[in-house]
Amino acid sequence: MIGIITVVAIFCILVLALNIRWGYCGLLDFGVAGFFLIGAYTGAILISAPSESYLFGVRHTVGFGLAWPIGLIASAVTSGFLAFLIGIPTLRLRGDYLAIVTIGVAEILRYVAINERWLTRGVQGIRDIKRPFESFFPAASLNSDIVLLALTLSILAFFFIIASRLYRSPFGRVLRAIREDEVVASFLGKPVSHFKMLGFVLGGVYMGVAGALFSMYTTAIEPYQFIPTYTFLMWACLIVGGSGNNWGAILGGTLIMGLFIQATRFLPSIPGQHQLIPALRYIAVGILLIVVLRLRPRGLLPEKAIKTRETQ
Amino acid sequence: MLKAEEIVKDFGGLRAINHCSIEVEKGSIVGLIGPNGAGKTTLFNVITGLYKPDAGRVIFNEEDITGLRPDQICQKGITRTFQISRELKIMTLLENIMLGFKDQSGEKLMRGILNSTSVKEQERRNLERSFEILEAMKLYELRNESAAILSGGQRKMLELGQALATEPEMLLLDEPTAGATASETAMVVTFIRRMREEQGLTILIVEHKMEVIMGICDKIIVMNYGEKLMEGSAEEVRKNKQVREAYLGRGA
Repeated sequence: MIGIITVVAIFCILVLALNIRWGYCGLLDFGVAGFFLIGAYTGAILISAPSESYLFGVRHTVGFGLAWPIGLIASAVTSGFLAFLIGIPTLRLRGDYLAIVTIGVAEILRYVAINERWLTRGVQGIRDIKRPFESFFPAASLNSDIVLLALTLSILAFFFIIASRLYRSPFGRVLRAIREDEVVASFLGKPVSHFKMLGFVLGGVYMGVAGALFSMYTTAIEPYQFIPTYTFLMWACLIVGGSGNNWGAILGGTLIMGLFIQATRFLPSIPGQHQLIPALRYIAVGILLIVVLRLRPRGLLPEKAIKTRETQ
Repeated sequence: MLKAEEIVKDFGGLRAINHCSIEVEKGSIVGLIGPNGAGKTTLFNVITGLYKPDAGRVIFNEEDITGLRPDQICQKGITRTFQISRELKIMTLLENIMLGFKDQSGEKLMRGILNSTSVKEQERRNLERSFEILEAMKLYELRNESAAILSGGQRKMLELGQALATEPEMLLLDEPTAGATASETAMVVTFIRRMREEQGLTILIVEHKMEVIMGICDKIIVMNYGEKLMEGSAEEVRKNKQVREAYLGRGA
């Protein structure tokens, strides 16, 4: 149970990040899994204990065994920097190009993780990723789970507050204006590419931190955990919850990742048909998406225009 | 104040603007007219940086602004409005106006998050000015409604207000009364006059309604096939034979 809340909270960070990119700024990002991956691997490589293996007869070591805060910060930096690199050529282009590039980069990164074994140990994955305060709370104990949950929830809360403050700030106002009509924003003197870049990088930072938390949660990561399915699940969460609304992002993330994807793990498996429930999960998400789009096209918690306070 | 010199703009094989030069003097209202496809909006787009001209220069306040980005040109003091109004629909009227102000410190990422007293103070000042603008536009009552509910003429007024919030030295208005009713048109016209008289704005205006153009412009420039046909006072334009031919065709 604690594990489920943790992983759902991690995915909620991803949905929040997607909300900043798409919900605030209108950036069509299909590469969530890639930013998640880069954060997870950065965290994993830095935090995990050094482990040796032989590759073509050459001994090499993966893992630095550094402290977890370094892993978290580093994953924020690498993922944010990746966003910056992708943003340079693509943010000036129309939205659909960004979509193509991001999904491409995410898949390339996954194949890099599969093939560059000196860095990522390939499909074997990286194991023994340490959790916070492991010397006080031994691995695989209830206390260790609670510590990670507390850390994840505090980061989620912190990110939520930042995202909400940004939404209401003049900065968020420019992002939303760019989403509505970037030509108008530019004629009102706003350097559109600059604002898009900031929104894109901020989303990347969020996703990177979510990745590092995920690596600590699973304590072992492998490339298969970062397939594009997760990108599209995040989109489903945001659309169902209500794009542009941070509470909607959390609601969508909790509903789909919690109820549909995670909680169904506890259903008794059907004898002889153990592939049935995993397949039904995605069908159920699809049906939910269709129903919500039909009845509440702007999500369960749609974005509302901000009423400016006039107390002064 | 604004000079466009020998502007050329091609779209593929089509020459939309052909060595066109115009000049707008400080504090004047200049009308730009011509039949559909004469190149008026294209010229606007070249001046405001949406298109880069293939030849020619745009000079504003003695400074060459050719090829700058739209946001840079806005920062220099030129703001434009659009033929088909492009209000930001999900946002409220108030937010539409608030967006216009320049140099908002809260538009910096960190300052936006921190929302310090200086940011709040600036927001409060901008809010008061937005109220004044909305009142002048007779849109104050609707300030917290989303812009999607407005009528055609109200949208035009909102766009004007948004443009005013950028505190421009010069306004380029692309058909400011398109889609407005007769009474709304009268309101826009009164407002344009007031902006010039009270704030000393320089205004270049594209308009198809002749009663609007003839009534408020100090000078009228007529374009046809991407070239300047003539310029002069309303009276001179009305009497000009070439202008009549451009609009109505050559008499049999």
